[in-house]
Amino acid sequence: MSNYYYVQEKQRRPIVPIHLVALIDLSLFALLSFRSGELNSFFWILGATKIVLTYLTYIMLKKFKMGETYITSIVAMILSIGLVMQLRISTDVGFKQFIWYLIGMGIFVATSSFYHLVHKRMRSIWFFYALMIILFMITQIIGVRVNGAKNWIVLGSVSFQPSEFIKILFVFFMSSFVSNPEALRLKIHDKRIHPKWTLMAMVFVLLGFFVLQREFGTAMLIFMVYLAIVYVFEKAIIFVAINAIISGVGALVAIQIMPHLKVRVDSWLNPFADIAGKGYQITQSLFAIGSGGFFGTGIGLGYPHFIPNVETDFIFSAICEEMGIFGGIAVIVLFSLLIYRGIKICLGLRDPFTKSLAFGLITTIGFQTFIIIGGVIKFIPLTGITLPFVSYGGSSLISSFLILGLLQALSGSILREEVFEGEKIHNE
Amino acid sequence: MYAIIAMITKYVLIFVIYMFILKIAKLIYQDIKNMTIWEDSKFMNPHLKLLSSIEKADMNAVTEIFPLKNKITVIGRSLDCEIVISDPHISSRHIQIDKVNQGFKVTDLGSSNMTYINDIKIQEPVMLKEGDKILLGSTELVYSEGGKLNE
Repeated sequence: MSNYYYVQEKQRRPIVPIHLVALIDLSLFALLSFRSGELNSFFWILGATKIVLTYLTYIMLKKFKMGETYITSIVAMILSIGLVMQLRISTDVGFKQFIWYLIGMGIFVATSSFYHLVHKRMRSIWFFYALMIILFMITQIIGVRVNGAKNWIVLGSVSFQPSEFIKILFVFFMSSFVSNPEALRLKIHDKRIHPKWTLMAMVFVLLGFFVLQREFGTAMLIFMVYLAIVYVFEKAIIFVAINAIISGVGALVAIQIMPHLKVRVDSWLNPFADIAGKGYQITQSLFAIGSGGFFGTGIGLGYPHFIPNVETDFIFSAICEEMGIFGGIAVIVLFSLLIYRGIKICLGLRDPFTKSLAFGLITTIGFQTFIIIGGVIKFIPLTGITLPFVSYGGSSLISSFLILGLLQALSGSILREEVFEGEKIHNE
Repeated sequence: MYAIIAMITKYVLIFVIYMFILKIAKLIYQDIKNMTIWEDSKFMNPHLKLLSSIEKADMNAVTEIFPLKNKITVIGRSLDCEIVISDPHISSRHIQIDKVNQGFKVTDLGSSNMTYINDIKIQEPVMLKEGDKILLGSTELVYSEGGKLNE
């Protein structure tokens, strides 16, 4: 029966890409250990751990039919580059990043294995909105101001950024809206308001909170994700246009009113006018990217320490300096492949909630990558958000792995449906 | 000494990373190709076609294919249905399609907005024939026996 043949062909998957990740890990960690003088066993252990974990997750996904392996392979490659760059810049910081990587992998395994148990239950739109507001309130009360943004909560020796988790909650919030807009239908003075206006009001309140805490990067990210989801799932384009116009006007007004926003725009338009002052970060970043040439200076031979915040915002510039423009383009292409696979997962889902969830999550990663890389190469004004999986930061890594785990869980649900379909057609 | 090794390895590193990217791209290409073959096989058996509201005028633009494999297929807004359509004008359990000897029978399950086949409101179960347009809420499904590949 010809249908059976097609099912067979679909299940043939070559294993080769994951080996290449292992090869890269081997080379990079070997370089690191060689660079530190004697053949230091510290880096060998880290490298071996990474390779083992990469293979283990791959085998786990295949054995338990937990979905596709492409997104984890792509992220494994991105992580190789990211972890090694962090370790190269500073062994201490790099080691902390590695620990967060281990925790993140644990979270990934837990989420992708257990999400399907809870996903039917977690759908209430007010629950997510309330959680976000609570997190905001906590940050407002006990938050700590770092680099101008009141965005950190410090508990003893651990500090984390609630905004990294708010962005995930926001996607859940939007997905509850998409799958059940009627939950937001309010009645004021006997007039029934269409849910999308309530949604708009709620989202702008959220954005207001972010602006209040000077978290412009996350505000921009949340808004772009909001626009994307509304554009895809809402029939009336005029609604999207209204939102875009209001926020455009709001942004222009904000730039005039708030001085530090004006500084960002000025240093974006002409950083070289004030190289030592306002434009220092951007100019150093541009110099670094330029000094890399096509293939880079080689790992360890560049000067990343000239760039401020090189472990967090400007890690991409350091990659471009030491691995060349080809290395930088490779990172961009890897993220694009990741986004493509995410959209493919989204297309394969039936249930509007999970469809919107997958779309929102991958859009978050996509826009986040675009915003930070764009800011670092002076394509758009610089904002302080992290490059997923690459920038140093516990909260950033954990939230990225959480997103990856959720996408993997959704991919797994598609695979289990498809296998079931394939068997049915074969049996008929 | 390290500097020399680092300078040589940088070319190797770039090469391997791009090999990886190419391999992934090739896998994606094969995946899409297999997906198209998989999609074609859905055409061979009886199925329902969902047309997007924008492309309704162009009969060739089909949004989704729902194969009718089961004995009983319930279509509605609820997640328990075999075919879930999130149109607010569709009831949670809108219609039921039963596979009987003569073909497929459509029964309206007491929906709020009624069901129309070829613009005629159905009061009792109706047998489907090739090309029948089922209208639920504001969504239109077209029934096809299958067996045609390139329409």
